[in-house]
Amino acid sequence: MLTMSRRSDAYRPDGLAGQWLAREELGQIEFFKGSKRAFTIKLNTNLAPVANQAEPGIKAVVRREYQKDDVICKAGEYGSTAFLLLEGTATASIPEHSVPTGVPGRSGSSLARLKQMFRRRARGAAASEPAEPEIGEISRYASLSCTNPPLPVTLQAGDVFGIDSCINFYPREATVRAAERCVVLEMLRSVLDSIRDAGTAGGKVDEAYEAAAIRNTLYLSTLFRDLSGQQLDELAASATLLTPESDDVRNNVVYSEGEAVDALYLIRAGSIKLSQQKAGGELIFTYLGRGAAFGLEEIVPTRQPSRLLLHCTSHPNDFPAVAVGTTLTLGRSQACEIVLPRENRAVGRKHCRLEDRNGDLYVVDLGSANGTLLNGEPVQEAVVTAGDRLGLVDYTFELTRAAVTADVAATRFATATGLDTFEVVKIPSSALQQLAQHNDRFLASASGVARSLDAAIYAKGPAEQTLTSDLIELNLYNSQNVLLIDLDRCTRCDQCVRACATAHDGVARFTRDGPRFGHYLVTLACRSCTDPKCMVGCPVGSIRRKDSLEIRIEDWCIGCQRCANQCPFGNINMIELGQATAAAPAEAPALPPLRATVCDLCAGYDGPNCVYACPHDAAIRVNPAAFLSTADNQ
Amino acid sequence: MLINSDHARWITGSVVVTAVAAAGYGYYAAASPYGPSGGSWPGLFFGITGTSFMVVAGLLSARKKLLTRRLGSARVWMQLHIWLGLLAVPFIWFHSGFGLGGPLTTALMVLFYIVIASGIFGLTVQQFLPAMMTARVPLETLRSQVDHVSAGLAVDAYELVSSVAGALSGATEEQASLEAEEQAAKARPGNWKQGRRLPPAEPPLASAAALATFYLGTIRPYLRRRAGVVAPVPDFRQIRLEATEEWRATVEKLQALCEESRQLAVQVRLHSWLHHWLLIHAPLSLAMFVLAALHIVFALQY
Repeated sequence: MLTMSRRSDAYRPDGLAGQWLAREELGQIEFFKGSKRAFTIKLNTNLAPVANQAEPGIKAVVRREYQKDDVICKAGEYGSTAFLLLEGTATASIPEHSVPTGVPGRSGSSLARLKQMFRRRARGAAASEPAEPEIGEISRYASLSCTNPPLPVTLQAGDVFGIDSCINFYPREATVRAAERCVVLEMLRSVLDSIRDAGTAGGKVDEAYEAAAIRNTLYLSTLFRDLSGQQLDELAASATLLTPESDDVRNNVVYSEGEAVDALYLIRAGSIKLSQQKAGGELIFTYLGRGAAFGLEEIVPTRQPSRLLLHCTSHPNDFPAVAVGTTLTLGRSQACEIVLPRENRAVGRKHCRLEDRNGDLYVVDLGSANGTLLNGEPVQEAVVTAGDRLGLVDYTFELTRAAVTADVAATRFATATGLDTFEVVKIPSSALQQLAQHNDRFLASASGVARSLDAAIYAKGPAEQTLTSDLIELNLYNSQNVLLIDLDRCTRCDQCVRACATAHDGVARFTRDGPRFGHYLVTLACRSCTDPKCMVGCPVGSIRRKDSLEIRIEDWCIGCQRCANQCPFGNINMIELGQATAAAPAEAPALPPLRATVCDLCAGYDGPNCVYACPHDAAIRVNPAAFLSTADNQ
Repeated sequence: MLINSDHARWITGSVVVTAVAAAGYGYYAAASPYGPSGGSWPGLFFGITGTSFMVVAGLLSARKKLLTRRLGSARVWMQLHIWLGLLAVPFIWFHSGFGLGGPLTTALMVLFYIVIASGIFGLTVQQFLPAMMTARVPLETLRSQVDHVSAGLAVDAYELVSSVAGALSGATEEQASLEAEEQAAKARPGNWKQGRRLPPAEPPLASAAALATFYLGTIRPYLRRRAGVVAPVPDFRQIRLEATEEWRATVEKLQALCEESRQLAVQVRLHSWLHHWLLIHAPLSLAMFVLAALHIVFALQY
């Protein structure tokens, strides 16, 4: 039985104290009018309580005062709260570089990290640049570097900010600093949600959020780094924010294959899958995450797969070049696709055939009397490719590769579907065309991005496509740090589980069970999802990302089981709390019967204990997409 | 632990150390007028070194108790355990001059050989049994949960059969389990892992009588057999022929449950091969250390 951990004390923010707002005070503020939940739910939060102040009963919103130049929230920090500026003014600015704070869960040794530090210094990496994530390290959320920061925005009384981190659980994009003495109300997501759902200020919050989301996405996008601030602002004015609830989106489909191209998209949150529907099922090309652009057919029309042409080198005027399809028969018979002269009896009626077998082109001699030559050698059946020459008695045919042609019709090459929830910024073609006409650098940059995406799609072989499908099926695309167990090494000794339990008051935070990927077990341990469903709708905001990317559940969890129900992998477990011990203070609050637990990557330890305690080198923490894409690891 | 290219340095080092030690022993044995002796300086050197190797190797068990202390990763400790343990063999041989000595040292050597042999056995099975288990038991579960899962399979089978054949009087334990499950679900509604059970058929399908008979006579005993008893899945061919459209799918599901039960039995067996050698290795190691301590005391004193 678990007793309530007092470690939460260590996570109280230092410094600035706050003042809980009483029910009556909240009712006076226009912003909270119409919202019932903020007034009726008793929340026990950890937002800087003030000593010597009677408990007001509602601890959902805290009031803070800032002096001039005080930082209210900082870009790169994780946060689960939003802010309402009550009095005074503040400025919000996107810095040029910001690094997400704190990346625990490294499983590498101290020596390995030391080596990495020296390597970075040797190549002159700037201290502020985000380093490449190590295997096992939680990958840094898309680099928050902005080469052309926008002008700071002045926030007035009544403005709401910090919504993005509160809703999407990503690091804060902007630093907000008090321009003068100001008063700010800080609120948890549960309060913000109730305002958006039922409050009178809900529409204003949504508008403010959408405008800031579009603007920040454009400024932070590497695709538009060569544009001026004015151009970006003009683009932002024409762009819209799409979510699964938008009118333009049906069944999570952003656009379908074959549709006319009318916009470019930037992913702000969530993941988008690009796929085609084939006869045998869905062919998934790739999935893209936050920061990626798609729908670039407007800029670089999708090239068609390069085909092979068969043309006669010995009698070029008699036979036009023919594109090789699935089957191509050569012979004297009229039934053949390439009909050779009937007078030449040396050539068979059906002499040979070119046929496609699973992407490989074969030449097959059909029992001809004089045989078929491949590059001068007689052949019965062989794989052929561009450059090969086929000899049929007096006739020589050569295979060449057709020139790549662009689809000038500019229709959608693939269907773009959101995987779970998402936010994308839609930029209409008209705005882009204007931009491309006057900005060669932008066109070059965008073309580069388009070609990279194009090449990545076409470069994928069947194995890679299968891997992509498997990653999506196992929901690994959304996972940033997964505990894998190599079942060919694992002796099922459960040392990993024991170590986890030892580190967490006797309750293991993961289960050595789960789906398999090849010979790897994808354990039921928190995957530190990029877009965590578990955090959505927590009534008390106790499940959150606080200082770094790992998901933590604070000790004010009320055991409602919502997070456990919402986690699609069953990685959150509900455990019964024990009775308060004799050592606990008498005024300790009544404990709920259940509390959610989740893997916290052993915050407070130097790396996950499960990996550290495995004597057989079977337990590893990896970024699944990067790890499993290596052929050796499949 | 898999012995692979990660151990190349250990293997190389062990071979080199053994070769050097063997050369040293050969020279000293040849040069000794009365032959090699454990009490001579070289003999003592070999003895102390070999014992030190064993002590360090034995510290793995202590390391396993301090799971969260940063004392070096468990992987490195396991490598130390394996290679120092194996290196101890030639050193003890060189110390003993390949002899057994008196009763105490003979007993010590016997224990030593058993410990080494059991360790080698354990290391050997670890090379292929995990992969075998992965391949043969795709429905593997936690070993500690096998009994619970097996009981769950029996309950699931009863649920499937009763959903077409009605409640069966010959499956009281399964009925009791279902009732207890229902009570637990009522006590804590909104349980995030609670599924919904099929109720018994009312009235039961007349055609399903054959299924009920097959279940009570064949499937139920099979699913309720002792854990670890590997038995082939019952023959479903006859019942499949008799199945009507209404319960044909039920037969398929029952066969899948039996297959899972078979796999769990295979898992138990393979798991015991993977772990039960420790029942010899660990306690005898302790006994060996006790005798080694006695040997040291007696050797120093006498």
